[in-house]
Amino acid sequence: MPRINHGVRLLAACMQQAGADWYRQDFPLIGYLFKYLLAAFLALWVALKMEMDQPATALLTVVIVMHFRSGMVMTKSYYRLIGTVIGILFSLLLVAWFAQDRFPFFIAAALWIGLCTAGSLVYRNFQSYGFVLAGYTLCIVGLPATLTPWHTFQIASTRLSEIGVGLLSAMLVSELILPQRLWENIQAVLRGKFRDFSQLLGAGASAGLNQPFLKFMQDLYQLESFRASVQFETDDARVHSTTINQLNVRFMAVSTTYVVFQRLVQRLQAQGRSHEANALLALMQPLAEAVLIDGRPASDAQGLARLQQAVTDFQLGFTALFSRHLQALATLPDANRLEVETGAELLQRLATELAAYLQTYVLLVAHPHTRQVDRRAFTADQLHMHIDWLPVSIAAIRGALTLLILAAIWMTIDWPSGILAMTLGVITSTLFAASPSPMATIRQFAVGVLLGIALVYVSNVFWLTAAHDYVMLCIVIAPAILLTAWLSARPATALVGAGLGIAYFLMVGFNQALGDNPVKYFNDSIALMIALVVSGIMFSLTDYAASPWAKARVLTQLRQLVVDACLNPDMTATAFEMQARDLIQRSGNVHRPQDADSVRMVEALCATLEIGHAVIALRAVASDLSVQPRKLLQHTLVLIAHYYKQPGQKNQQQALQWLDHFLGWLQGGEYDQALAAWQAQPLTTQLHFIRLVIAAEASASPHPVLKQEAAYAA
Amino acid sequence: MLHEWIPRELAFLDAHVPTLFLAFLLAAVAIWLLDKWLAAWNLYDLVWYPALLRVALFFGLFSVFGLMVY
Repeated sequence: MPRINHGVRLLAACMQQAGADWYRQDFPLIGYLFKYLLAAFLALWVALKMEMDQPATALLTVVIVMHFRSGMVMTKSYYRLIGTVIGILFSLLLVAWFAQDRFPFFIAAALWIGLCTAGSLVYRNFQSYGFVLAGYTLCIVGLPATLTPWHTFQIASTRLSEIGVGLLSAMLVSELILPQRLWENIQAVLRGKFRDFSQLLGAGASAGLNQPFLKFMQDLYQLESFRASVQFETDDARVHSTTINQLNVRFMAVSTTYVVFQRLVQRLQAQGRSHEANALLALMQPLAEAVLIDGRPASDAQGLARLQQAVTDFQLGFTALFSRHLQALATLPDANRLEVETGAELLQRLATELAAYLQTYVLLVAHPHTRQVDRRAFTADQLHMHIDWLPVSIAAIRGALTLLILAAIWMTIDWPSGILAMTLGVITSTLFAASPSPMATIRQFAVGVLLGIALVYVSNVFWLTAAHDYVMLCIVIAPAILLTAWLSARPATALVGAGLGIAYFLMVGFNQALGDNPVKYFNDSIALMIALVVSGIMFSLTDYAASPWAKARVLTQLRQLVVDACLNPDMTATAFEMQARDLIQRSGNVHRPQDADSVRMVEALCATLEIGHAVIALRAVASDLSVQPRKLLQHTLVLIAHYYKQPGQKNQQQALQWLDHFLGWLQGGEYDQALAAWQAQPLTTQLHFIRLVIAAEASASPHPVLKQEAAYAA
Repeated sequence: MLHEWIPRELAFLDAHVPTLFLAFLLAAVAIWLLDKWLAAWNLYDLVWYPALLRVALFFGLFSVFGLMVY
């Protein structure tokens, strides 16, 4: 009997566990499907009740803005509304100006689409989305209006109402029913990032620094995209928007310093100076031990408090520890004291930045209810953007050309579904402009569109003819909606879902009259295919990000950033760091951590950050010096900038010689009148560090692509 | 009464817009401001279902404005 009892209890425990797992993992998805259906049915009901022309537009709007997270739906809807209103205003203008002649009309439309494509590439997150919709709206309002210009205003106001109905239903349903809050996601990312970084700090990286660094960078941008959507949340996320921003900036600083420090140690080891390298590692040891408690990162409030205390202790005891190590090192014959001092300075910076990061982290994770960073107290706002106008203009030209080609086909063969083709062409060329590998994206999207076309056939021919009332209509569209929702909820098939939803609701046959019209069906299907083919060809012809030339350009731009850091007095460390990271992020080469290319890019980024921060720190030192040493420092900066502008043996030698000369002057103690000893010390270590970095550039190949080009020229 | 004073439709750039639409916009802006204020003072911590409160407040305010028109 007790055995049976035991068995029953075990079974109950298993069932409970399984139930909890199901509730945590699968239930949200089912809830999401349910919400999706409900939002679509609500939109359909309202649109039919108000006798709008195209209830399908309202449904399409729901499909476009629905998202797993409630805050995301609000943000998406907000930008969709703005994009739509601007698109409608422009359509009205365009029809008013050029309704009588199609050539100027299409030229102006192409310019508009080019502008929208450029905008969607320049801006991030859902702001980019607003531009996509401003372009798309021109197609659903402006183009139909050209056929009947006297109805333009009516078309515009009806489309706007339909879209409004779709937006309102999507927002209402996702806010009120089983809302999925962003705050949990944000906290999960924050904790994950802290865990990874603690492990890296405590245990060191086994497989190189580049991959962890890449991972941190991606987390950073993910967090930023969440943060962009918290304005419409009701929970803690919105209150902490500024705090999250501060955490991001501080994390960026501490992770960069750590990478720079480790690169210094690696460089020393590679040069066979193991005494210095070991001394530096031993200096860091107390910090590494404090970060991991029993081999695990701190997770609760007490652990974090202890960690903060340990970091403070480390900072306080650092000078004593450092002088002990220096004494030990002095007994060795050929030890270079300066290199250890350079590393020690980096370590002190690391400890300071770690303390700052921990302070914000504890605030967010342990006491989110009590305090937050005031917006006025922290103004290093926004991630600085680095915009490269070449890919942006290529994308703009591509968008405009896609529209013009489709328009030309429409006009020459007088084809009834031309508007639909142009609509899809514009959607694809604006929506995927920022995609790192547009061909793969288009292919996935095309699979979705084909599925949608097949589904429309079944719906239109077999099911819609039997739909006599609202409930039947709901049943007819339910499979397509469920499939779209399910596909788009999974990241791997999100694009297939988007293609399916867009194609289905562009073609489904219950606008104006219910039922099927085979001729229209085939025309529309062919239109969608032609649009896909044309934009696919355009994307493959202008696939800028994949070309080796683009990569060389990114490397050159990184060097240019170093030049800016040397010569531009307004460049702060945070701005420099953000621009460099944004440049790499946008280049689209860092989405696959296993890729050789992306590792090389991150390597280049780390090298840039290393020298850039050193140069900016040097400039900071220069600000409170007297005239003579400041002049010398200016000359140093100019030489470094010159080397980074035109990398080459000669310029490098020139910079190195000057640095040697300068260092000799500083170490010789001839600066008595010009400098105080406390000023000379940081200057010496900083200059020495820069010298190390520049000298290391020689052993690494300077510029693989340049080398290739040089070989080709020879 | 107020509704005798307010027209049911307004001419906006020669296009007739229902006054109700204006009331809708007004209510949306008012709720947006109120919402910012509620969030800044952590008043949402006292509410069981913040989203529901927000929607309910909006519909309440919209109805008040709407009843002023009709």
